[in-house]
Amino acid sequence: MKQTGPSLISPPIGDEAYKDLEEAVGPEFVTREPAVLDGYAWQPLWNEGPEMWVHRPIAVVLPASTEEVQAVVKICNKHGLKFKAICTGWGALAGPRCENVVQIELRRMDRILEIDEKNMFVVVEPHAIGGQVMAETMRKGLHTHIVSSGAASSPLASATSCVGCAPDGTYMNWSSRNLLGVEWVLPDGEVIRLGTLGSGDGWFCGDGPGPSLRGVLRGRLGAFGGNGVFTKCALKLYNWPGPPEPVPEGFLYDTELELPPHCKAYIMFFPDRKSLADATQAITVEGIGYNAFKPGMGSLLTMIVPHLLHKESWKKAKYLKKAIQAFNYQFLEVLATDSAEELEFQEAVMRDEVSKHGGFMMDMEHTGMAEMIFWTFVLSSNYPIFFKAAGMFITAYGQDESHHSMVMASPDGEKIKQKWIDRGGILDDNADSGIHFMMEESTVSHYEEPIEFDHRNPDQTRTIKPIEMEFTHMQAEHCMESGITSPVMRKMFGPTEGFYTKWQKGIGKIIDPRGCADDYLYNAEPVEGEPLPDDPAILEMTEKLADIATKMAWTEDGPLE
Amino acid sequence: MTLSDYERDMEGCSRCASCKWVPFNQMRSWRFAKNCPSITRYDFHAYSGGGRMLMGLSMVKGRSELTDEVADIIYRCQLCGACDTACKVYRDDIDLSEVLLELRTTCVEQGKLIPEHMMVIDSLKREGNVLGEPKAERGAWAHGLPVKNINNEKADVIFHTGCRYSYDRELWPTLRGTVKLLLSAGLDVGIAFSEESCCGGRAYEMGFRGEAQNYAEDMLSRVKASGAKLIVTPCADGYAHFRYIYPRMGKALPVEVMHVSEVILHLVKEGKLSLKNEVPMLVTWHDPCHLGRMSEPYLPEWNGDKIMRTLDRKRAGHNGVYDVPRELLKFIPGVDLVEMERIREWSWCCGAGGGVYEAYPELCTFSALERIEEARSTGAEAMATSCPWCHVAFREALAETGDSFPVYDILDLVQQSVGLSPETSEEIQGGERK
Ligand SMILES: Cc1cc2nc3c(=O)[nH]c(=O)nc-3n(C[C@H](O)[C@H](O)[C@H](O)COP(=O)(O)OP(=O)(O)OC[C@H]3O[C@@H](n4cnc5c(N)ncnc54)[C@H](O)[C@@H]3O)c2cc1C
Ligand code: SF4
Ligand code: SF4
Repeated sequence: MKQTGPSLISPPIGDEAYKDLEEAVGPEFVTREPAVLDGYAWQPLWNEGPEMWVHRPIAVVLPASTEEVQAVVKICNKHGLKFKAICTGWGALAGPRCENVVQIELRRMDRILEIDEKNMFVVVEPHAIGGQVMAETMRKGLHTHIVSSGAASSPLASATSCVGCAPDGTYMNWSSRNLLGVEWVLPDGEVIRLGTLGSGDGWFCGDGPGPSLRGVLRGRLGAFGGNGVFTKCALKLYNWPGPPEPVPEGFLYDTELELPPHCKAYIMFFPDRKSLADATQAITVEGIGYNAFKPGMGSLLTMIVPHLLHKESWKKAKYLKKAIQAFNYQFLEVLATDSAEELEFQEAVMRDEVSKHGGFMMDMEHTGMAEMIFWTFVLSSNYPIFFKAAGMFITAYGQDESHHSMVMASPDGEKIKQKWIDRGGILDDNADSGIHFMMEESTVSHYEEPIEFDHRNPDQTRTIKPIEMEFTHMQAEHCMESGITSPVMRKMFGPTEGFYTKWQKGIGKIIDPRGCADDYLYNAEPVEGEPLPDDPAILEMTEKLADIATKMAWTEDGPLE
Repeated sequence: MTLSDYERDMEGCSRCASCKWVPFNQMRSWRFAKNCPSITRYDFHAYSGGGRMLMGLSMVKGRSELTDEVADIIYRCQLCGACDTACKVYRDDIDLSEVLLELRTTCVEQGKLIPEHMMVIDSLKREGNVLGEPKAERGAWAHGLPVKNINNEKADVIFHTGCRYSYDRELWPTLRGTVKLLLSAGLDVGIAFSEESCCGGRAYEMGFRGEAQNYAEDMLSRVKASGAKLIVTPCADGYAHFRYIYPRMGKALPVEVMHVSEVILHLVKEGKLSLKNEVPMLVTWHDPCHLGRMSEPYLPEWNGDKIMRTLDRKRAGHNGVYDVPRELLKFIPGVDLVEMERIREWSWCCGAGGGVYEAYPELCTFSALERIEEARSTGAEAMATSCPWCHVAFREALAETGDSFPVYDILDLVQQSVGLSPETSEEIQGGERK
């Protein structure tokens, strides 16, 4: 797991292995051309830097079928190479994270194989992107859960391998919950089929009859490519009461298309954080909403008036900032219902809870923004806008816990953020931009602090790692669960979380005996003696985290106490 | 500008993949969701707009070399601009199309030339056109037309024919009919006959800046000498190059430039042309890239951080010509328009642009057939367009596969409606008049 210097370039792939790859997928669909490979190594998003490159793959292959994926994986096993699957590839999660990785680009496996209207599921290949799946399912009165990376990303990647929450989770749940039958190429090249698919009964159930390994295949957050390659899966669909082929005018803020019957967008404001948490939880428990979330006022500003936030006058606009902050306890509800009665019921519940908690709500049609909000959220067409104001963004925190703990933790997040804004490290979005949304009728709630910065500016890039460490520290102090994707941190925190790392590693050894999957983000071991970054802020935070981890550690027989 | 001048643009890429798809609000089906012919055909990231930028970045950062394979990828791109438009839905600080142009120039500067492009450049040098045809025959299409010769007569309007229309005999009836319409509406039209040269835009797209510069200068001096007030061209390529590439080279033309469809619409609205005959037909409209997003006028480079660039200085494809042909079709009695999924700013390219027609006929055919399939899927009986290069790409792709689907120039439909019968080739005698 050694890094090969600042440019992270592995030695070239051997001719014999390359020839085998060519035979497996056809010479046209393999490359080892350095400039082409670098298209997979440039990954500025979720990259802890300081460079924006990850490891350059030694080759990229474009398989067209499960059999070809299987052949590629077997070749990697034969030649002692690693492999990593990539779909859209938006973020360092998808690029190689160690040496000698063959990147398996799944673009040629992009079909929608079946839409089962009656049983409400769709069967997809990896590169059928969210926008395509949505367009086809909407024609049949059904909708697909899409995470907030939006319409470009792969529903299969999200469901099988990578997190899975989104504002539509209020109605369409977590990606992993929507996962039904799966076809999976294990890291040793064996193909297994899960759930009903494994017993020859079709795609409709992920848990059998037939092998049920849903927990193993992705755990809570996903294995980020570290458990092999998923080649097909079935995903649960939900009701779509709108038109079968919605075609708005415009692309983003210029979006124009009437709201469908019985559909609305509301914004509600509360006097304080507690009433926001109470009211929105109560509303969500009742099953209200199609897309619902607490936007940050700051995030809205980054989208609507990005230039303002770079100006000196904004920094000094003390009262304007305070005035904007006064609207921070807000919540957006997009309603899409089948009938006037249902809409009336949903509105009544909202009105009731909002007034009980001292808030007020507004039909967004009065603001002229209802159509834009409704359609860009329903079509997931808005998300890349996060990159407009500064060029890059990361999510600090990014946690999923109970709604109250998430909402009530956000002041701490805001404080950390403000500190780094004051140091000039990140874009000044008023530090009030915490985003929340709920899944599973509010049993899980997501919180994240988007941090916008210019990754082309080394002064800003340098701040990102310390900021992330500080957020991790806060999580640890609050005993929150954390999705840890670095081997060093996993080693530190494994003992605080039931030694999950050992279980994970144990499973890894069974399904990947030759260690061929690039599992850096999932269960790779830290490299002994790997130098820590020399940034004092990072070192200080690492020590603090180690302290906390020691205090919270269990023994292998149970808690320390 | 050079490739390194766009380093910040290239580094700006977040790898979001929007440049591979039609803008997401407009995605209507699985089948027609893609916007880039190149990555749709070849699949590696490097063939997309974003992937091309990352190859450029890799080279600028000294991580990789410009090899033959990389140059080949750079050339397998129509420079159609669909990626740029999609990226700019979200970004103000990336000028993708400009990076693609700079990549071409880098290839030429480093001697990574391809024979098919060299043949075009040789032809330009020898004969002043991109088709290898004799310069002396450039005005042959106008034989017998009462049109002025701007080399020795003053005219209000210069009609710039363009290489393809000038030499492609199958297009001559369309061309001649159009000029007749302009004349019948009272326009004082002149052409340069054999003195007309290529606009030079194709050379620019292929990376030959010096050549392009020469042709721009030639055009500029001809326009100045003519005293004309307006340039009208039926060539969408030329139209885009006059509006965008000329000013980018610092050679902006001193007169207004109009595409002929704009002029015809104007004449119809003024009552100078009467579209009276029924042309009963369900058509779909193919937006040529060069009439649409690529014809958006040049805007001066933004000095400083493009994050702060104001919208009026962002060239995002919205100011191309989209409504004019649609309006014109509405004026033709009997014509009904049914739209494809990929239209306007997010239109799918015919395949002919950026030197692909000349060097990579297989990619060109692939793009054209994809578009014909999309046109067919609408239920239309025919496709209309207004660019000779698109027309030829469709015509040749259909011929190659033995398929048939009617493709009209909008000017043909206008002529039918006016009641002008197309001339047969026998009626059009070759040879220059003057
Ligand atoms: C702006 C933005 C907002 C985001 N917000 C959210 C959010 O709200 N909720 C959320 O859950 N996520 C969010 N994310 C992260 C998101 O989950 C991922 O970016 C997205 O799911 C990736 O989809 P993709 O098609 O780009 O997959 P990729 O980036 O290609 O892959 C994602 C991971 O899955 C692995 N993988 C992909 N395909 C396969 C396969 N077939 N077999 C095995 N492994 C595979 C890859 O190796 C990689 O580790 C956000 C990302 C962005 C950029
Ligand atoms: S749309 Fe723009 S930012 Fe996104 S991948 Fe393409 S070039 Fe990069
Ligand atoms: S210009 Fe056209 S062909 Fe070239 S990369 Fe962009 S979308 Fe693809």
